[in-house]
Amino acid sequence: MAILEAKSLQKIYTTRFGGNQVKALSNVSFSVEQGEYVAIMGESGSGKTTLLNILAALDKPTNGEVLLDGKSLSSIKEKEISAFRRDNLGFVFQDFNLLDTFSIQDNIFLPLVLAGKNHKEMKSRLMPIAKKLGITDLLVKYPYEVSGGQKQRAAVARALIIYPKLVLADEPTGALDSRSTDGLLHVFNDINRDGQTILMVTHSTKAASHASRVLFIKDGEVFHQIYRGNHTNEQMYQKISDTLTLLATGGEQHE
Amino acid sequence: MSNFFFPKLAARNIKKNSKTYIPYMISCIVTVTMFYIVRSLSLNPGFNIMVGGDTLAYMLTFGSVVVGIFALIFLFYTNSFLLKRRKKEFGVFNILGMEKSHLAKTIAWENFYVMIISIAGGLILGIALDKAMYLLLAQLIEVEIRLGFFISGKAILTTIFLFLTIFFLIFLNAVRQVRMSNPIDLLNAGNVGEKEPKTKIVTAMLGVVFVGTGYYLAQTTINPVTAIPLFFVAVMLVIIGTYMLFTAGSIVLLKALRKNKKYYYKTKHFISVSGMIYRMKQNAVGLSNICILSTAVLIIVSSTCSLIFGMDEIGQTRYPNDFSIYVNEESTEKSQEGLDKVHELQQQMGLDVVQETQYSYFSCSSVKIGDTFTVERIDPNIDMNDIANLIFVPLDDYNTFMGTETVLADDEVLIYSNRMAFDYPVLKVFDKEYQVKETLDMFMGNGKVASNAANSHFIVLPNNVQMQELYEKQKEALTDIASQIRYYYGFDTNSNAETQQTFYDAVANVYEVNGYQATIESKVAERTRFIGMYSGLFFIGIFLGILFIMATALIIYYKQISEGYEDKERFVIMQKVGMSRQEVKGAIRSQVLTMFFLPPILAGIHVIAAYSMITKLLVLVNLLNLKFFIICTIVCFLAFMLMYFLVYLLTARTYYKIVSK
Repeated sequence: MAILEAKSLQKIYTTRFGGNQVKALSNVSFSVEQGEYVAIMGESGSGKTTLLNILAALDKPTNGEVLLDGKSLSSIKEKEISAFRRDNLGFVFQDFNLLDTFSIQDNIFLPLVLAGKNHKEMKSRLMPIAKKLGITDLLVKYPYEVSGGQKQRAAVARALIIYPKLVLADEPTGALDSRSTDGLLHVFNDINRDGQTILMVTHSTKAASHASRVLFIKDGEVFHQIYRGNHTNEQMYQKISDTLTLLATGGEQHE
Repeated sequence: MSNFFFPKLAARNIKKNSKTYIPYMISCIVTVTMFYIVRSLSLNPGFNIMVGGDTLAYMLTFGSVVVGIFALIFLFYTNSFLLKRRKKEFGVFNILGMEKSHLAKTIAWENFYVMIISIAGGLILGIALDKAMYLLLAQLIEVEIRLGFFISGKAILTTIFLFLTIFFLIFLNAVRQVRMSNPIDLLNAGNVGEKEPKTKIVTAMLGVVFVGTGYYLAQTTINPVTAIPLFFVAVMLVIIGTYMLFTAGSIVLLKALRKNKKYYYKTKHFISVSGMIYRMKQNAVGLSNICILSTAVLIIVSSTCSLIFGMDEIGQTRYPNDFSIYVNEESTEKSQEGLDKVHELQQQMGLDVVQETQYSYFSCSSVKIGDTFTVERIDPNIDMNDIANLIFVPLDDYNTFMGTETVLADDEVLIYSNRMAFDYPVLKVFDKEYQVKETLDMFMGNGKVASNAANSHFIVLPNNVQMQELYEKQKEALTDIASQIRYYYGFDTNSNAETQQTFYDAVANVYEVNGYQATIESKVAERTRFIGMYSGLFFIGIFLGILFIMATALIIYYKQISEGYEDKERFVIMQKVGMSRQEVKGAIRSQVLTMFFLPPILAGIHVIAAYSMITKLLVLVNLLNLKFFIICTIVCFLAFMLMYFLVYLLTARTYYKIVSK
């Protein structure tokens, strides 16, 4: 069953002066099945960020609609949208977005506190997640006291603690060194194996090679997609690079 | 490098960072202005001819020391923000090949510019404000202000010297910070998360002790004149204690709140408590400054206002009739002669006389214990509440002027008390006992006696024999300080102020020409004199009030701006994690509101603690109606809160603009 469905999404920005129209997305349709791990790739300016913002209900499409678990995002009232995001979507950002005023533990609790959960329940939700992500010892520390990789794992914990229908990750490895990147991608694989649906936007071939499916966006459209099938990460990596080369050369044949 | 490289670079740096530099320079200028004004007021020669002038000048000198310390702390504090923002820039310069000594030179030039602008601007603004306030107040109270406009060379020199020192210290501190850190630290300084402040239980407790001791000193002082040095100690203790409470006490309290899991993990508390812990470190000094300035404003303005508005009331007890003549002659004939002249003048000038009072009396002070008055020399250390003024009046005079036909037996009296009622059936004075036939609600006033801070009792004696007898006894008891039997003549009039003034001058002239001994008082003339006498006080009160309010508003503005830039990021993150815009706005507002209203509330508590001290000081300038002072203080507090809130709203708009950009 599809947990997320994007139906012919179109997004047109009008520049402030002169009314020039810029098409960020022209026609994007795809769906994500329950338990899938999907990566979306594309160059800068290809419409990735716009797409993610629309999927996260941070932005509205000019045309088309997004269904999350069968419910259209555009049908949700403005007032309820924050609560809806908080209850259904877990976010992982490139720059972590942890608050320095909170300890790691309180940062992870933040969405639950906003949702009005009691402290006992927060605690019981936190323990297994912290253990799985290997951050149990870091909980009392503050964001400025831990490394980038640790921060990102804390951010993942914050996304998971609400038991989201979908985890949306925006360039999650963008600010990490290669060792931390490996660690984080393993974490993503682990939680995906446990049944968590993940949608990741990235332009790192390595990050994308861990996904079960990779979508390529170019000029505001889904240009191509690769299914993992029985391929290993290395084979995926190769296929992705080939596709990227193809994208970069505009689809012309190699000589 | 050319000779002009560093001056030019420094000038360009200031221009480029104008967004942070302009508020900083405005703060500097206002601080200089504030110091100059307080210092020059304290040196104003007008104090020599003012009631209580010595005390005021002394207090203002002390005030200038406080403002000096305040200036040091405040400028260091505002500069530290500036420095934090600038470090990244210094880091870039450093990496691009500028040596640390070059950086120091740049910083020196920057500081130099700021210093010149601040001191010059501050002095000009100070002198201009001084003049403007003088003109404004002269307009308002229509009397020449004794404490005139005055440019004090000494104050200018002190100001220049003080701020040279402060800016030099700021410069040294900046150079030290740049020297101590490497380029990478400098580059990242702007981004490093502010660490959570440490819990300093000892400082917090010391703060409580200091404030408590200050309060205790203010409560227990009895004699305001000798206690002025002690009063300053109390003020210093409270100021230091306030700083400690805000810097350490607040954090201890907030951390205790955070430990309480049930309280802490609620949406509203979660964000505001954590935010405040984080904010307190940088805001504590600013908040204490606001608190201290607010306290000063409240005390100064409320006591000044109670003087201004209490004036009519003071006039009422002091001057029971529009005209009062206290005859000071030995012989009855000469007394009557003088009064006849007054009546003549009334006729001549067509003065519309409404109500006349005339009686003979003699007065003496005594110590009252229960129903017994002991007439003796008063020991200056005695409690004011035990002292009673006795004014003896014969029944005939009373009946004539009150229009009554009361009859008294030889051992009966009537009594009227102006402050505390006399509710005993028997009255004992000297070796005599009188039955109190009636306690009166109304009496012909006597302002001279009423101006005394003690209780006054008017005792109506049955006849002149009794009057004479008590008079002799009083003479025996007090010998050289005994009083004579005198005449009082007072009347009210419907004529206008101008006629009254002319009449007053005419009477005074007649008395002088004929050599009659008397004190002549006219409410109209006295009122003018009274305003003139206290105009210096009003001037200082209103001036300092406005000045401190300006400084407070400025600090608030500065805080909002600098916080806005920092909160912006927090604001964005919270929205990303699932808070709606409204929720974030609400959370930040409640946090900022708590922070903002903490200082004036503590200021209110300070004022309450200072109450007994202030009332004692006010007695020195003849304000005795304490109820009136309380009302004035409450009104001032409410008005101040309203103004504070308006300043807050105005700056909050700027703040939201920055945050939601």
